[in-house]
Amino acid sequence: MNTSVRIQGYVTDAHVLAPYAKHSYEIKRYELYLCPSNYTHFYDLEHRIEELKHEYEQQQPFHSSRDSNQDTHPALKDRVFDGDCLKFESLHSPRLEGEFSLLAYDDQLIGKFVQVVGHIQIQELGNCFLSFHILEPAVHPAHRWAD
Amino acid sequence: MSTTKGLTLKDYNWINSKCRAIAKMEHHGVKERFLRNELYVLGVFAFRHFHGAQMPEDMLHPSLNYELLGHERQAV
Repeated sequence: MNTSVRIQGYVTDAHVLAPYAKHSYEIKRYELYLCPSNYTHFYDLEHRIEELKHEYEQQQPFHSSRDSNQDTHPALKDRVFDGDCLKFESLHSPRLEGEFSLLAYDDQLIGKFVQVVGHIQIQELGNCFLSFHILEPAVHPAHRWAD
Repeated sequence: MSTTKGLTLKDYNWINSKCRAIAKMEHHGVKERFLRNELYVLGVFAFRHFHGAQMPEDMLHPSLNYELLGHERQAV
């Protein structure tokens, strides 16, 4: 299944220059919160995540699917949506393209219209998250309409 | 192009979602010039769908009968 994602939207929070961990015991990750310009991305992602989970379950050996019974192993939550935003995360520093390669602070990204390239990832316990490896400036389809 | 005029329930749903989304973008600190782009898309969507047309190939040419020129098609 194709798990790649390429989504345009507005950055609402970013930790792409310096990795971040909410709690001291957590591994620091690069994170990006995106408000997608097209809200159909939410439905599209939900659909693709369901498909990916289904495919993943099919690949599991019988004993494993029995062990993953919710009574013994409560399912972990997906980390794809954060309120009205999409959350991207990565243990590796994402590649910043164009003018973003000159940025010094994460705050400089907030409110920018960007394109994120990444993948829908599924973890061993069957929960999903979005990884990202490229972040680049994007041109809005209606850019310069008022000129 | 369809001759039926008017917005469908699906169109209204899209418009409602977009209106909410734009307000959320504003809440998240998205600059006004970007909000203006989103509002432009909202207007183009309402106009085109009212007339039974899909979104234009090039957002900068929203009229119903505009045909893209060769170099414009390449740029899209």
